[in-house]
Amino acid sequence: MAEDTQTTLKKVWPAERMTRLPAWIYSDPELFTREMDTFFFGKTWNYIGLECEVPTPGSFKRSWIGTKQVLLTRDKDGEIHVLENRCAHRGTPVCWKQAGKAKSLMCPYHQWTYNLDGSLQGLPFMRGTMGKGGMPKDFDRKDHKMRKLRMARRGGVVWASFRDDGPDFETYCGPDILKLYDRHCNGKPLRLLGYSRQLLPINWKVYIENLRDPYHATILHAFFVTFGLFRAEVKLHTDSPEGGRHELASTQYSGDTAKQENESTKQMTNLKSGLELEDMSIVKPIDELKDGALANFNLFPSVHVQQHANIFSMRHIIPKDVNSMELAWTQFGYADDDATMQKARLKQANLIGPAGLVSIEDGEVLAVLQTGVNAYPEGIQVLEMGGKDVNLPSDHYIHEDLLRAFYQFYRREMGL
Amino acid sequence: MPPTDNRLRAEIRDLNDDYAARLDNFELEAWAEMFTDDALYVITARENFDAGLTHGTVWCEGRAMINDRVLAIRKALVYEDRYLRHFVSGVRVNADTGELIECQANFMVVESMIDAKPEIILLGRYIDKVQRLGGSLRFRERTCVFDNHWLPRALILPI
Repeated sequence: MAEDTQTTLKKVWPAERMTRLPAWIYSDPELFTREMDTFFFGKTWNYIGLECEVPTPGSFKRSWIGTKQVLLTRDKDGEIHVLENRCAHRGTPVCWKQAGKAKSLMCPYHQWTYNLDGSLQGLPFMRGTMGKGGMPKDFDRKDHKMRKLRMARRGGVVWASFRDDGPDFETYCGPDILKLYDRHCNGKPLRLLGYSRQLLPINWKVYIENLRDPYHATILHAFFVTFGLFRAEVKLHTDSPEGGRHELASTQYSGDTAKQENESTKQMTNLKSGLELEDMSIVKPIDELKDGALANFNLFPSVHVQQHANIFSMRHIIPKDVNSMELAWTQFGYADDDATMQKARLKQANLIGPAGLVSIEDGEVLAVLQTGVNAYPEGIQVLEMGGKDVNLPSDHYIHEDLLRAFYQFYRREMGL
Repeated sequence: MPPTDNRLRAEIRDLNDDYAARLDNFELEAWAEMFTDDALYVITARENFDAGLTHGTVWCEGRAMINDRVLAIRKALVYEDRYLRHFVSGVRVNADTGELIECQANFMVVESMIDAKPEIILLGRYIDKVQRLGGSLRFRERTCVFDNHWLPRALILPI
């Protein structure tokens, strides 16, 4: 019999605070609401989109910060804004499209009409009709705008915060994240390649954890291993900067290894299973950043920024409720990519996304995990791989230090 | 609308039925054989297709890449068992140059898994270029454009 049931469950963190996780944190709706307030709506910076998604005056694009809808817009003067997608009148989402172009944004309910900078252009019957009705004399359009959020832009990427009293974007990221950020989002104009969206039946933290779990990558993601592409001898640099808030991981494919790829691959393939890919192009990167590195980082809470070979993606984490989240993949390259590079990015993208030959398994295993933690909220999970405390940075795969670092941060922020 | 060659339309309908049957029966190798060596097989969101964005959730150029995906499904990927059922309707022939037939069809794909009600995982249309090779028809291009805003937790099997 279970030691405890959902109704009588004492929601406390286990005594071995660093190495144990209570399962109720993945299924408690009240905790989820607090997480939205603390993280997504708190003193954080959230991923909104790329500047190239709103290329010209009048462009708009819908995005999300946690459970709240926002709009990325470019006004008639070419200025970029992030607005709450919410009418100042009754709170109706003003924009009902995913993306597009418009001279103004009109709320369909009462036709309050806004400029793309959020200012109220006008509303029907402001002065009433036939001498009756209308807004009071002291009604001032300037007092009724779509709320404009604090915004930061860097390297063609747009960020926003609901809070005006948090740190600036660069301070929030910290130097280690910025170093990786500036590698590929370096100011070169970006080109949008497209989107893949998946609805994952998981608590959003489960995905946050997945990025901080190099241990699973060596075991679950069989594609690289089966085809002899995984190099266990390669070092993986990981860290959890800014007090466990963010996460970063980088690894190298040296120029030598890249050149020897066929040979090395064949040897490992023979060792593993004798299987070989017929078309190796999806695993043959072009070393465009000239440092032979693959680098990923989680800019907490909203996005995982991925550079895997020539795949550039923003994995936008959009929690829906305690049990589900959208994972929105935005794929991009550079505006000046030649035909060869464009094709390389399209082909390599088969590795990632909802049908990705590597990432496909995350959706599967995490969904199954969620059914387990939902059924056993009293369950206690063990995090002892690599030790019982946090020893970071690390240079290998087989540890859970990033998870322990994250939950140390999480407990501090949530008061748990 | 140009007058439709009913025989050709019936042929394309049969091709789609065979395609669906092979996938529904998990005959993935036989499915891959329905493409030409230089085929383009893409699964993409309507959001991308309508905006002219090139990214595909699946983007295979050539039989080799298609075969690799089959091999990965058979030998590498870790996933829960599922059954897919493809419902294809609304077959239309848009152009016929003799060598190449441009056509389209609607698809609905229903996935059945343990402990779950069957779910419509994909809804959309095939946009095809079909080539006559020897006595048979093969896909030189099959773009599967899905209307869904979201894909399910994972898209394992071909569409």
